[in-house]
Amino acid sequence: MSIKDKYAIAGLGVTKQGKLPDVTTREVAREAMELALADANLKRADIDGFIYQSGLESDTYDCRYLGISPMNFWSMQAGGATAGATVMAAIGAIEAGVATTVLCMGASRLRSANLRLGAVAYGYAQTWGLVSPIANHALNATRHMAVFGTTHEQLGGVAVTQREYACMRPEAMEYGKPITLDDYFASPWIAHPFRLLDCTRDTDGGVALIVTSAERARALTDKPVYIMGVGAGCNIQRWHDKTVYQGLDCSRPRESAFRTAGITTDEVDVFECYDAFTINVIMQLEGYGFCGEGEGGPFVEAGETKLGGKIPTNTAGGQLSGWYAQGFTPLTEGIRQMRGDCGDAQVEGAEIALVTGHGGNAGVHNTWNHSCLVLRR
Amino acid sequence: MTTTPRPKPGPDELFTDPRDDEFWEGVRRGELLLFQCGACGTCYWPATSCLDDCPMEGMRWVPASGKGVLHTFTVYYRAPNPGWKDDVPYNVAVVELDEGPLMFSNVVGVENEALEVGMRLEAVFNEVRPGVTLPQFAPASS
Repeated sequence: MSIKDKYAIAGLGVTKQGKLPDVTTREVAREAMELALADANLKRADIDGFIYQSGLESDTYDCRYLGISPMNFWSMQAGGATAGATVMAAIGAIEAGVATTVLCMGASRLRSANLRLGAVAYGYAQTWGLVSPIANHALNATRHMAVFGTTHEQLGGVAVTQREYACMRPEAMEYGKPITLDDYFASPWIAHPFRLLDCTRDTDGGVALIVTSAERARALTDKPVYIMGVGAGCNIQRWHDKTVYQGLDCSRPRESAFRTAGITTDEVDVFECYDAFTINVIMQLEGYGFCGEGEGGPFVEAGETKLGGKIPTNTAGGQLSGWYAQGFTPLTEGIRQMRGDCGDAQVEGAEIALVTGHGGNAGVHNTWNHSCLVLRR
Repeated sequence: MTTTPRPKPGPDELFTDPRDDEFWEGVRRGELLLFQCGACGTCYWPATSCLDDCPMEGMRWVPASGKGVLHTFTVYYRAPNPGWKDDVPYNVAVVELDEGPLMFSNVVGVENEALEVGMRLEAVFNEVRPGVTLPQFAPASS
């Protein structure tokens, strides 16, 4: 019983992303919800399911404040994989008959509330000073460089490529601020082998979407985005296999998502992947088969992730140069590409998007959770 | 904008689990232990259920060689939190122990610039702060 094309995203609400020092997080959530409702031509009373990314602030998802009374409101926390997981849970809730119209949401003020990821106690990582997600991803990059020969220039190539995209997108944090590889090399070390321009930065903002049946989505909007397939993975076996630092567990999520969708990697027109740090892009290009294992660096260096390349990737600048709403950043851009809303960065004729997210464990024990969605217009 | 310094925690301030008491007792007497399955002999770190479904009752902390190789590392140049501002630059390492498991640590006794994936290491035990002894790793002497 395949879920292929049975469900769709009928509405998308994206607040201003960046610095929101003067509003509460629940206000951000309210605004995101109202934008999504308006986009889907729905009212509050139509929302009968609510699934949200929890964890950083307690007041965000006050249903009374939001003015909704769904049959369920479930929190989820799978780090950067949460966005995709909320969509999977929404599909599950609808399949199970406990909802018809699900609001999926991530809203936070990571920047202005000065929240910090990085506090997980088991494994005692902090006692050795392994405090923040950057170190974990730097451990990935060092290992990838040692095993496959990935270079600093190639990491910089990711940063420069995504900045080019951001400069096509007025809503990006780094719009109007182009960079060159020289700028990359001039940026200061943060955690070797990462320089400042290898890293995202926290931003504030909310993203909400409405997941419902394909039939209902078609009735609500002329731009439904269909969910062709979904996938999930976990990096723990790779910890035991000692390959956890040189790659991500994309094989299982890819297999299930592509099997359900009935597609191969070649059929994906645009790739929106979780990219808090440059190495993430390289590892996921490999993991999803856009290039061979270890070939992600040269692939980026050859321009294959640019418009006109083999697979345009992170076309709004991603988290690196766009904005950091955890997994909701790539999911938002995947939806926008399928709706043709991406302006100069629109991938012409794009019909299928792959979006991913990964994270968990406060980022310090590697990114245990992974999720992906195959979307089509 | 201020960030509350996260205290630099010792292991017992961070997480208390009687399952790990023997490991930290070993560290305090200068001995590195691994969590070994009594049924199949596989070694784990940190304490972990045996992947082959062997009983948890048979898992025990056993002495390890303390030798391994540098699997990967990073060097913090910017403190992740004000609690570490006086420590930068400092490294965080993942060591692949000869018995198999990966383990978080730091490499000492070598300049950060000289760190290389694959270098042979051996465990040393340092009191990094008053009352906090950690297993760290230094270039192997032999």
